[in-house]
Amino acid sequence: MKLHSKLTKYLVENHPLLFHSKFFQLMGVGIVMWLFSFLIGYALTTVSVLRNESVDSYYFESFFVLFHVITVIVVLSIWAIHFFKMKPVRNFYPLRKGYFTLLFFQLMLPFLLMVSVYIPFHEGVIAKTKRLLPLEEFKKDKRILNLGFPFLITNTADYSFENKAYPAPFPLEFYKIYDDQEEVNSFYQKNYDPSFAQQTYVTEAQIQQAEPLRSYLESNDSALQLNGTSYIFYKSRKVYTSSDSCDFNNLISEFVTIPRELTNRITESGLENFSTAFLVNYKSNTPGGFFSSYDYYDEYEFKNLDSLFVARDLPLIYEIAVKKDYETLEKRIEEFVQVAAKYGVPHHLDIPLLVSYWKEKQMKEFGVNVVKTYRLDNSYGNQYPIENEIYKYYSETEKRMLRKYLFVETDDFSKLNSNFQSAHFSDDYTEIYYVFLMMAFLLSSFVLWFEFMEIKPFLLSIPVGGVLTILIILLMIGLNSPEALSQDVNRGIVLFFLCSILGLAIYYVKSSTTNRFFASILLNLGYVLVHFILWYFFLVLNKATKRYILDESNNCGNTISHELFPWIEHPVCFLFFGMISVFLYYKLIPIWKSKKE
Amino acid sequence: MSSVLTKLITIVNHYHNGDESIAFRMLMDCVIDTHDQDIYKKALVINELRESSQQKNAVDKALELIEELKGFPYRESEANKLLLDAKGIHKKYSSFHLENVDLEIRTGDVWGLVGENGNGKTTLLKILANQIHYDRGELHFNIPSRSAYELRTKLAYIPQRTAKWFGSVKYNLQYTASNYGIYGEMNELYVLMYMIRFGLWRFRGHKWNELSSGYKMRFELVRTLLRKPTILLLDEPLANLDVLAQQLILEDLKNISDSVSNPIGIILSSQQLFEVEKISDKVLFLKNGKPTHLSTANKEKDESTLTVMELDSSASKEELYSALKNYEVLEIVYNGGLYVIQVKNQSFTEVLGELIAHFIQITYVRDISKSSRRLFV
Repeated sequence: MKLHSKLTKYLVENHPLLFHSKFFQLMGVGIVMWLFSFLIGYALTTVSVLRNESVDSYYFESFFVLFHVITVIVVLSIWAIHFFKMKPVRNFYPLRKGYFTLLFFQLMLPFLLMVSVYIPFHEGVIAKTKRLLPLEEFKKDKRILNLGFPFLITNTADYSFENKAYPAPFPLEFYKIYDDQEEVNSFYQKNYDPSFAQQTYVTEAQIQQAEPLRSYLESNDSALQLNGTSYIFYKSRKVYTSSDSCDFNNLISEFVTIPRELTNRITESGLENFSTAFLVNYKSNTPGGFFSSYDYYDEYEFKNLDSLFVARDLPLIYEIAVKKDYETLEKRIEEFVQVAAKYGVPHHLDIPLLVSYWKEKQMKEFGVNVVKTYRLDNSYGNQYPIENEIYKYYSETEKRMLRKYLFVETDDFSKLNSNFQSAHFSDDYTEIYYVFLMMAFLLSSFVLWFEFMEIKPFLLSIPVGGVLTILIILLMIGLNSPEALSQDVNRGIVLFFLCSILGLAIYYVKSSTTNRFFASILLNLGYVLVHFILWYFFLVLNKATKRYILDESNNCGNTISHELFPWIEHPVCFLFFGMISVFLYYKLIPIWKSKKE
Repeated sequence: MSSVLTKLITIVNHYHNGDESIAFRMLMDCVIDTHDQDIYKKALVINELRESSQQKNAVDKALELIEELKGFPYRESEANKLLLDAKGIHKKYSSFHLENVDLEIRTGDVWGLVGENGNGKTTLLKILANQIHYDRGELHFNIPSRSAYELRTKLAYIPQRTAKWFGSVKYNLQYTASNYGIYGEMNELYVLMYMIRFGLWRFRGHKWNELSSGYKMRFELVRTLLRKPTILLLDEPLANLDVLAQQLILEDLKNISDSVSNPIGIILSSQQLFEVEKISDKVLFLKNGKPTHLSTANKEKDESTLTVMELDSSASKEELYSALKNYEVLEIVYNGGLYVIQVKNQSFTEVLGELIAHFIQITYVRDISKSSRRLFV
């Protein structure tokens, strides 16, 4: 208290603005809130939380968010009583240069601390998560789980632990030869000519003249027969029609004959869910080898760590599955159970029962749920997961038994793992920082409003502003009708209206002959507009001047967009322009304040 | 002899006559005008001695300080400098019309603005404070300022109802002082000097709701003075104050306007005619928005031969006429409580003597010949 009294005395005697804003007190509260939030985040995080919640959103799930909101409201209310009772503007005290701008920053900084306690809370959660799930230890535990997981048969969804993402099931394209001639003809569009293999560019004319696929098929017996249906396996490549063209064709570059020892292991379902075949042949997965494909799913989403796991774990799983090594299988499941117990993951795993199950099944169905498979949709280049419903392989009696004795809460592992990933590898919170900055900016300017505004015109400006907003929205709707103007013109007209209101506000404030009450209402409306009008001006200008120019980096005739202000939609721009225009607007306040009634 | 020296001699006389309270207040005025930290500290010591009931020591120290002040190089400001010149001010409202107001305010002037409720006193004050527009006329401020806002910082208008403030008396005053560029140690000393001078010393830690109306007005006055205004406009500052508080405030105002280093112009509206007239150099009476200028006895010579007397008596109007039958009585008006008697070519003393000679019972009498009171009849 003594220190606080000394600080207060020093500030009131030397820095009236700091005394008025209670900057240091607010900062103190903000820092305490940050420290407290860190500690709370740290204290609240337990293994149980990590199993059930996401660390990135735990703040919003916990009671702390409510506590935070109430604390901020209470602190700001107490502060506001102090702040608004001392009105230097109302009392016509001299205002130092940049008074409002300085005051704005003196409010924004502590407000930023107060509204952003999510950050320390989250850091506390992350710190505790790192302690509960240490990098090396959890990696080891994950490996144990991964090695055991394929032998658990109860998870109905895809194996959702991260390392499930083994390489794409089958890297070759294949075609199922139906009797339907039309479909066969359609397939023939994927033209093939061995001479094309040597060519960099293949023209449309060459394709038309080339010996079609049919002749190849007639002369080569490469089709694989599965359950009486023929399958053709091939690789394709994209071939441009000329060096200066962007037209291309997908041509069959190579037909692939499946080695005989593999054909016995490939089942019809395995073509789309190729786990068994893949696992069996995993060892041949070397660069340029049979299963080395451009279509490696992992390359897109699970880089580095996960691909290492995949490479390391799959052979081990394969060993157990192929060699029917039930002893190791039992050991793997035991280790799995130990790790599950370590993290408190609920399960009803009956190890002997599970081992006897595999013995009974002879590992026959193994792999169904190991690999998540994807259907490639070439038309959009997207990949869609194919749902595997393991229970469809079991009878109702088996299902009930499995649920009762072999249940594992796999979601808990998923949560643990995603929290582990967030804690150790994810650090990009940029967007949420912008949200906090924006909140602090708007809160500060809102509070500062009360530093100078007068209550009656302020209250009246609310309905006036509401009516104007409705009119502008109606105008926008009207202009957006099918026969109406382009969006650019539409935006321009709205901008014109907003600028008119702002211009009117400036005129009314500055003119000595205008009514002060109307000037006050317009000043309030202008204050709202000024937060975004400069930014909106540049946005409209940017959109209006946006043009598409030919991409000269290739000859494909593609266009690229050219914008005057490509950065305008970045949140920092909004903040920058918002602040600049608000600070400029503050210059009107002394003029308005000294305006005669 | 300089005005300061005259003041200091008066203070010494007050001390010698035992009028310690008035002497100390006047001394504080001279102390404040020095703007010297050492002098302020010495005054602080005297105040502490007074507060601890060591009157003798306090007086000794005060006399020592007075001797020191006699040699102090005061910065005397220009006296009688024109601050505000209003000519033919008109303002029309639907209900009333303020007409043709002329007035000049100079440094050291105290203007009294009197009139019944709803006659335009507050309107005129607001016009002079540059708060509201006027319809016609000219209003010139001889106050250097770069903007309308800066001008307003130098025109201190204290409304009838002052706003609530937060925090202690002292912090509020210190905050005001630092806003006006008084920083550091000087800030506290300067504020303390004013608090001592205006009797707020004991209330320095008090909050708004712990002060009486009189002290709230004193607080406002001190806060306003810390702003070093050029013109001080007060709207009914005496309302809600007891008689003693009224007298003190008025005396303070008079002293403020006469400050050596920072003389200001003051205009105050009030219905306390007698009290206001006592300290005002000029009085402007407003009736239905129309002004009447009155020069009070202490400034200008009145050549009128009319004696106007306010009288409280149990005698009837006929008895009064009878008693004054030898004089040229223009009118005797009874307004329910008091008589107002207008007699031509006789002095107040003569008329009073005649009434006493006729055994008229008098419980109260006042010469209002030169007072605006007569206009309220």
